[in-house]
Amino acid sequence: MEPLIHTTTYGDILRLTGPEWILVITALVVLAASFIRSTTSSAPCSTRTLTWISLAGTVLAGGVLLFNQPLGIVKGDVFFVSEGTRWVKLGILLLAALSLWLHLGTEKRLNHQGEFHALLLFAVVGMLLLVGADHLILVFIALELTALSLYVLTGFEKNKSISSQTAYKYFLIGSVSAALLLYGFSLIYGVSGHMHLTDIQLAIASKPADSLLALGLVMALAGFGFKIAAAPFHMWAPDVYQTAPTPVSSLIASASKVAGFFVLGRFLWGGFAGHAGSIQWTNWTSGWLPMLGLLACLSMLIGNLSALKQMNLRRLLAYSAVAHSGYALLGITSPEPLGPSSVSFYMLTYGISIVGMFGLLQILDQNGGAGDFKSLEGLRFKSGWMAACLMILILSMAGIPPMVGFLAKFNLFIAALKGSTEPMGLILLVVLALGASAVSLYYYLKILKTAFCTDQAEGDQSIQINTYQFTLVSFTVIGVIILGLFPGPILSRLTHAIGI
Amino acid sequence: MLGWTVYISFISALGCFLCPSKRPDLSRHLALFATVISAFVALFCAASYTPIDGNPVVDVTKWNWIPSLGISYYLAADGISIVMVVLTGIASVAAVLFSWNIEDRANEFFGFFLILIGGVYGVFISFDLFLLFVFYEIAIIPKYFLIAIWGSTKKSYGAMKLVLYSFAGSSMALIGIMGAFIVSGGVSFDLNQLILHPYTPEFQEWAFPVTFIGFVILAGLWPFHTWAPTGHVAAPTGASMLLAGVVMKLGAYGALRVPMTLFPMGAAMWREELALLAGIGIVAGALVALVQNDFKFIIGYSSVSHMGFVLLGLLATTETGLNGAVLQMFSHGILAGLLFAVVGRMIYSRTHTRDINKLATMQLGRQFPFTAAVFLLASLASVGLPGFSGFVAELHVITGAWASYSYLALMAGTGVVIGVAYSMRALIRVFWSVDSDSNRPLQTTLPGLTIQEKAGATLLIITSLVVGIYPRLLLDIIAPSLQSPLLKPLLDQGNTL
Repeated sequence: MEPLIHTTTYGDILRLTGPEWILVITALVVLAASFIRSTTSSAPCSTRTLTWISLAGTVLAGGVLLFNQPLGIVKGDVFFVSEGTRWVKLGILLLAALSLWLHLGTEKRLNHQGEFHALLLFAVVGMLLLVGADHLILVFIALELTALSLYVLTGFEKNKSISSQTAYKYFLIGSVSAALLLYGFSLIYGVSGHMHLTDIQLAIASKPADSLLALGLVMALAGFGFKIAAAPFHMWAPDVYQTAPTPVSSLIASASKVAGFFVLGRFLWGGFAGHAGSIQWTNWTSGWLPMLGLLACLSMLIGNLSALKQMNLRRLLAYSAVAHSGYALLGITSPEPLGPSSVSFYMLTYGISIVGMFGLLQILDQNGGAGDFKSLEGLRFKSGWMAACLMILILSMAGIPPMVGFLAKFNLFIAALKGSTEPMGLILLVVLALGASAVSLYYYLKILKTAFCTDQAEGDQSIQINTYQFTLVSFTVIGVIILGLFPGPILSRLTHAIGI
Repeated sequence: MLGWTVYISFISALGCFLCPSKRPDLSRHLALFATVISAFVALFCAASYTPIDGNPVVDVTKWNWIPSLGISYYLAADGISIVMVVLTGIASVAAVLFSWNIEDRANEFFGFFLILIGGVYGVFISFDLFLLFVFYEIAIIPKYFLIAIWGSTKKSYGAMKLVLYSFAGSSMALIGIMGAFIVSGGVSFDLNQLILHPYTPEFQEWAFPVTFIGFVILAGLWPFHTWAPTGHVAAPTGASMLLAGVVMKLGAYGALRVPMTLFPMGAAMWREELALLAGIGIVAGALVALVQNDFKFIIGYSSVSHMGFVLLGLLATTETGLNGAVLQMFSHGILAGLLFAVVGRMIYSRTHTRDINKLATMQLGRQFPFTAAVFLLASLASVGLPGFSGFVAELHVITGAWASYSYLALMAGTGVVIGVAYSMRALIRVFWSVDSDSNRPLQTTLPGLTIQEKAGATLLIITSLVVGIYPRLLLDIIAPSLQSPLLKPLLDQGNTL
């Protein structure tokens, strides 16, 4: 391992933020390229070229991260790079690349492709910064960079009124939550006198519980809760999933969740470990853990129960994502290294399966489906490959072995149980999560039942699948199986890296 | 070598899925081939099974699977596993033979079928609890598709109910498994390691019932048994043979292997209450079977009743009781398969009705003397006619229970008597009712039995007969395992009663 850099010089800062810079430059290149190409050749070709450029940038950023990334802290503890953040960032880049790949398969062409790609890359830059942020202001800026890009992307089909409406809704709720977050941060600053998580930790460690601090934390949690779509701050999710362009939904559902959960865990444990409180069944004390527990319970219950009656597949996935956020919040209750590593593993593997699901939905849409259960009818006969992929991805999300979803969830539960000071302290939450999983199996099986147990419709035409879609979905399916069968190396590496 | 039962099943399942759906014969033969080979592997392992240095647990494969969680891919077998593996082998061959008539999407049918069988084999030979749970879950999902696609009579409802019950039960079992892991320090899921930790009585007091009930939901413990009759009735014949034959055994086996092994003190605290439920299950299942008019429901409820014997034997926590429970699992696995084969395949697929009053008019006894004889033998065997496996098993269970709670032994005895009543009622109505008077000419002719049906039925009857006449074949394998360090604490608790 290279020596830690602790620096203020610009050269070193540039090296520490290498992947972020590469993405920013790629975004600018893409913007510029879109102007050059649009005058000379037809639109579809240039769109694919733009996507390829963005993908190349993402891969380059990943390569730098993997092979040539020094570890270190920017002086003043604003931004840091550790083994743990490297792995999480790699995961985010992988999910972003998959979402871009999904865009390659899109046959519906929108205008302003240069801006589309640039915004998408800026959102990814925001996520990467978020993972390394150690300073409240940087956390806020990175969150807003991601969120503002995503608001615009959500409303990208601006000639469709439903699309603008959703983006507006997303933006309104999002800006309120940003305001809450900022106000919470200011209260935390007022109480502790610091903006760095470690300093805050030191400053408030000696203080007794403070009602202003509590208010600040509640507001900050509400703000974060919006980003990770935890109930009751999840109202935007179903609309956004349903109407945003598929690659955007897939990015929101996968990569942005990974970043959001990672920073939430570090914010709470890095800055406020002393005020965690306890939600063990024998010993209940106030702090932020009970709040987190409440969010987890609400998310699991509301998410799963609302998903039961959804008829639109994207809305169903959105509500199930709320439930998945609830499970992942269980992992946040556990300190380093078990908590963050299990949550990151969970969100990464969940991200892979949800990107695959969006790939399948895109194929269905392009073959004239309305995105509801009806479009799945007779899928078994139309395309055996799609039906098999659907089954594997859905079973992974439902947490059935040998797919990775089961192991990731199991790992999360073990982390939550081990993380509390008294063994089995969080057993009630885990019991609730297991019960919620049983409920979720109902709607997941309903999807599979529609795909497998309906009869062949008359005059069925086969389904058109392009190479990009085929490779994307196959990749996610194979990933879900391989990670499920051989999770050992990645899991221990992640735990080890975050533990350093 | 025993691990190959699992691998052969999973690889052939993949092969079946890849078979063209227009060639049902290919996947059929592949499935038969796979199950026969697995059955031979199982029989060979049973024949060559010898405890090493007095330790009945024989390792098969051990590999560090997920080191950061202390999970190993650890396959091993003791006598109880061996018996269950042999049962799975025989029952799966018979179930494939009785699924020979599946034409529609046969490749998928046998694919799901073999995944289910592979999962079942895996549960029986896993000595790492995480691995055991993984196989347990793998066995749940194929059942849904087998029933929901190829089933009859409210198939969607039956399939969903069965899967949700199984999943809820397995979640409860998972709580116990995770609890044992965490409380013992979070080092390993290896059963041999977990057993070394002294779990406190306070922990065992809640962990035992949660885990035990979680597992035995799948074994049909009253009042959590309602999935069983609806699921069995909705399932296609081959699937209901497997469901009643081996899948219900998963629950009982899991209950013995996990909660009763790890939490013997908890078992001592709760066994009387739970044994009472098992006793109620025996009588209630039998009584409900007595009033059913749907032939398949009669068999479905009789399964609940017979599984009650297994649970009663387990909860007696005496050596005789445990012997009886394992024997009964084997015996019921064979006989329930046979009964479902008669009802679902030999009769229903020809008559298209299961109403015993309608069947009574069809002169089935004269049309199908072989079927009638098979059903006669199977029901006699399952109500405990000496000479068949059911007799030795139920005798052991009742004797074992008598030592622990004599009133429950009496209840079980009552259950046997009612068992005779419902079996005879079904037998006489369906095959030898007055309507099928031998002087009247045959009114309808139904297609005759196929060679596969005869072969499957013969296989099962001979198995039951062999075990009934010479039970030491199994008892000699089971008995040393009851002396192992795994089960000793449980039996010590039983002796203090």
